[in-house]
Amino acid sequence: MEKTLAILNELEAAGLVESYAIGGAMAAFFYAEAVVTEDLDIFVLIKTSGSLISLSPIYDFLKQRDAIEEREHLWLAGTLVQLIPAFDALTEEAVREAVEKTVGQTKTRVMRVEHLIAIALQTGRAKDHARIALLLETADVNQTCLQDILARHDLQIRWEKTKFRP
Amino acid sequence: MSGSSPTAIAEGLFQGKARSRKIAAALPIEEKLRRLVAMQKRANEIRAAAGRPLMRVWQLD
Repeated sequence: MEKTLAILNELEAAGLVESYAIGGAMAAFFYAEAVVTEDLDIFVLIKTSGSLISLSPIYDFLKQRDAIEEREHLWLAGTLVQLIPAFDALTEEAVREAVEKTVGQTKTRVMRVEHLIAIALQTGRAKDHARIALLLETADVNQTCLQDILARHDLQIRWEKTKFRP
Repeated sequence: MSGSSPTAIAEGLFQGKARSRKIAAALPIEEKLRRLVAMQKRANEIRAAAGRPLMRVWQLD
């Protein structure tokens, strides 16, 4: 996966994205045990001058580096990648506040565990709830930070309803 | 050999599982990636047997 991350770092260095962060199941790997997943979710912040964005320049850049498009995914240096534009205030904040991690010799950025929990809660599928339970059980979650994120993004009621407890 | 209640035995097993999961969570990311690919391959054995679409398997560097 190092080659994949190196290419994503090039993408950022080229200015095609403002920044990126690993999210989803793979981000949870950095905080909890490995669970099976098929793709690497990469959330990207894209510079825009209006409300419309296009992923085409990004795809073109990656295809020049041998990426192969497969429906909604890209095969990038052996890893199945899904590029997801940050689509709301929560995902934007999660990308901006992502933390630096290293895989092998390659630096990358990974969403903080508190943002992963908030996004999983917002998404709300069964597998997202399973991820929340896993993270609460094994990760070092800052409860103050988590509650602050939940409050700022109107997720406290949903949190209370689902009755997740550390 | 002294016996134990099923509840006590189950409790001991669950505690052991919890310890194993903590250890698994603390593994280096590179080892977790190797485990992921192994899980993807194992999942495909089950999916193939069940006639379900296969999961796409990553190729590590």
